[in-house]
Amino acid sequence: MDRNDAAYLSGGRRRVALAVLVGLIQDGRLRLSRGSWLMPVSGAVARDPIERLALERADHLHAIWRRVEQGVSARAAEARLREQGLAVRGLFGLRATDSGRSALALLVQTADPVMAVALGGIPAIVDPEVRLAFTTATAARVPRRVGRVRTGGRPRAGRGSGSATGCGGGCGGSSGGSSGGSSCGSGGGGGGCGGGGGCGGGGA
Amino acid sequence: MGDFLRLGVGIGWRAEIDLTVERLPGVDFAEVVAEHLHPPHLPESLQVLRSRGLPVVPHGVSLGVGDAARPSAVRLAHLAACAEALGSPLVSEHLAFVRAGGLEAGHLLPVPRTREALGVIVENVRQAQDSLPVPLALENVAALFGWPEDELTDAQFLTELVERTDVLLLIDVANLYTNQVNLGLSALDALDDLPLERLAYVHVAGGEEHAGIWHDTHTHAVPEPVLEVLAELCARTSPPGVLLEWDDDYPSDAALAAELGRIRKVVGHGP
Repeated sequence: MDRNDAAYLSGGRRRVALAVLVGLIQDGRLRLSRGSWLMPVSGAVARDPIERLALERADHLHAIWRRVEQGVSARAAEARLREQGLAVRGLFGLRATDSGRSALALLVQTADPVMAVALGGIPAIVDPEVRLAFTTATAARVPRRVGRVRTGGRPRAGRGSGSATGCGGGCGGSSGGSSGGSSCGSGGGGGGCGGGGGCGGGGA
Repeated sequence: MGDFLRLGVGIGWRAEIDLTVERLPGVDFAEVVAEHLHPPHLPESLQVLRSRGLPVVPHGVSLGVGDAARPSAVRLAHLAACAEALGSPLVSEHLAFVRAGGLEAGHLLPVPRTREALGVIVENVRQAQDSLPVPLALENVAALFGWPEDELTDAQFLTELVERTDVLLLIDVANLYTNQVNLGLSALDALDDLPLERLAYVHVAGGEEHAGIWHDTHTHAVPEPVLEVLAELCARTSPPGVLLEWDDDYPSDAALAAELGRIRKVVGHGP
């Protein structure tokens, strides 16, 4: 069972998205800033379609989390889990089988901090700033970022002098240009997963 | 130069990399674009940095010290308020011409280096100094062109401005390099002639070349030739501070840390 399937079995599509985002922040391809903004770092490369959604463009965490969640195929995840005998669809949705619960229990013992998030959700995020950002993201209105310069995209020639005279505007050019993730330090461990509750849209 | 201006190696604080700046190892000071601040409500990240005792320098981009008109009292009050709110040791701006006749240039344009313009700018700088609670440092800009009536070199102009106003200097070595590539003005000659004893700190930034023109984008790694200009500056004086500017297309934390490491190595503060 890979990390995304473990996340799906533990908490549904939203948990998968959480684990993907935390993984990207931890390995430095996605940068979290205060105010819960996420921005792909320059040159960040996605390794799969889900990561591609996460790295598509800078946005508020709330929006990116939703975008990634919507990109997770529940049908495909369920099919894989059922095929491997790790989950069955019961009266109340998908639930882990004994094999599934055993597999999750084994994964709890791994030292991978992102797997811990896949299994345990937000409480398992080690970095306090990252944990706080995800904790507050669901309830947050997306704020307008004051003074924020252009986010992402290709460099523009002359940016160094671009809107240099705009008082209060988004001027990035601070030195008179010419012609022109967070190191989250997620350590080991984190909260574990009790192993295999039902899923299909559960909490993160 | 007083000890209060021994700044070390720093990085430009931007909202997009606020947590990164807080967490990067070996950041001795930061600079923030003054026009991005509302002094009564400083960003939490800047408050965190200040609570650690990290100096934060407001860096203005719209004052227009090089304009024919006197600097705006409102803009000066804003710079002063930024300095007060941040407890800054100094404020920096550009020796640039940015507006005239109610029109904004949208660029940090070079000032006409004439004696007549110098007289005007000396008065502008004095007015700015009188309005600020801390010393003012002025930065050399990267020029798109030179005015045909120029009488003085950049270094001569800055030297006389310093002599007459006691203003500090912020030397942008990337701008010196840009002027060398685009206008054929020797960066080393400029370093030889500038009054480096009034140096407050140094800017370093990356850029890229297109069709023989150097674009000071602040979105690339610092190229070796710019670090060589920094090394030449360090051979002439010990800069109180050196700051990396990066304004968009931010790379990973590791890449930014590596850039600071390269700078630290040149200025002799690292391996």
